[in-house]
Amino acid sequence: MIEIDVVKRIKTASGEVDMHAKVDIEKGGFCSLFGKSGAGKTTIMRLLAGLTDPDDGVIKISGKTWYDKKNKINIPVNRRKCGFVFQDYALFPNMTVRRNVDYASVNKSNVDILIDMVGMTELKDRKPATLSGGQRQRVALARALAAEPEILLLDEPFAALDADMRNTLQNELKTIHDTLGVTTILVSHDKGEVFKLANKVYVLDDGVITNVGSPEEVFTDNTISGKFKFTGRVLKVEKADCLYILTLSIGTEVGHVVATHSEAHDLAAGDRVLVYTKAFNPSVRKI
Amino acid sequence: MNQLEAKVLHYRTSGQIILCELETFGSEVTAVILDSPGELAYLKEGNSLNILFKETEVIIAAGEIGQLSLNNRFKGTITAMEKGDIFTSLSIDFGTGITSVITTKSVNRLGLAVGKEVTALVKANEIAIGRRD
Repeated sequence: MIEIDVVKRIKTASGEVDMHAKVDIEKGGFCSLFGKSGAGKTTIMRLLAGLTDPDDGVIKISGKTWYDKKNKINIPVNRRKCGFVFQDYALFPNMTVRRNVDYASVNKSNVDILIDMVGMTELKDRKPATLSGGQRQRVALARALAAEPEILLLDEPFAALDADMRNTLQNELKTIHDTLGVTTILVSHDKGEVFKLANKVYVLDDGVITNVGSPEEVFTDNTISGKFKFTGRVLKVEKADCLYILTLSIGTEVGHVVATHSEAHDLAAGDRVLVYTKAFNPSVRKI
Repeated sequence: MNQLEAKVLHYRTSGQIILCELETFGSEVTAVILDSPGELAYLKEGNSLNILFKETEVIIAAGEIGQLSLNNRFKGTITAMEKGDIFTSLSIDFGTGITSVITTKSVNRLGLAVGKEVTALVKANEIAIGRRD
């Protein structure tokens, strides 16, 4: 269980504000901090890692106090067990993939398992300069996990990658999280990414937490009545006659929807959509 | 999706089904929805909300209409047409604009053209309501 309840003066787009960050994450959970740049997302990560000190408050991890202003407790950075992955890889350029992961590892026997888990076994003797952006982020993830952190902190880790690679790495990260169960915090401004990975999301705006809940609760449009509403992802948009055929993935199923120009003109593959119909329309049959 | 501003005249419920009588641009509209009024804070007599219905659910009648069950009738003029092989998209103005998508076969049978007067018809259970932001 991670309990953060701190105040920190930060600079935002609209001036200096006292950010009151109250964040609770259950052990093994996957939480996302969502918002525009300058909203305070990265500051919360830095407060947690001990890279910057709060002005007041308490940070507790699994019952252990990492920071407590009143009782003058401040565990130093190197004793806080945080694994980091940033947008830029920060790998040691003179070390091979395997050495990079090994260097950070607590348990040497896990190094090859982790390299295998991120799909880098074939490339384990390569140096970072010869790897693609996606491959370097895989190594950075394996290295962060090798330190056996209590919390994995991911700060826009896939933002510099192209859409396909981002999608692949998001899926891999999900599998790894499901397997290892490391409590993870992801900073992101990509709704689709948050939907896919997080089970809890904190929305930040100018240093204020404006909304908390599951991605469905936070992002799903409640402005239209309807008992048959789902969120889906656009897989394909095709023009047919004067209409459009949308291929959508909803949950684990794929379906098709006929859309008009006004619905489809600004849609592209990858977009998230609300799919709704009147409760009168669907037909059902026992299977 | 057609989206029009409408005013709530009154509504009544039977179990979870709500029948709303509304008014939009001088025409009366009936919408039947499945929800509980308590969850729809914007459903209040005198309130403005949005009514929404899909273009492909808008029926077009030309000339005199005989006896029909449909309550929702918008009498207007065709202002634009986009003709496809199978479907045609019609823009209709009855004080505000709505779109109807019907088969090109029907467009030809009814002799529809820009400037022609038509009535757009929508079943009450095809109309959804939504909050105006």
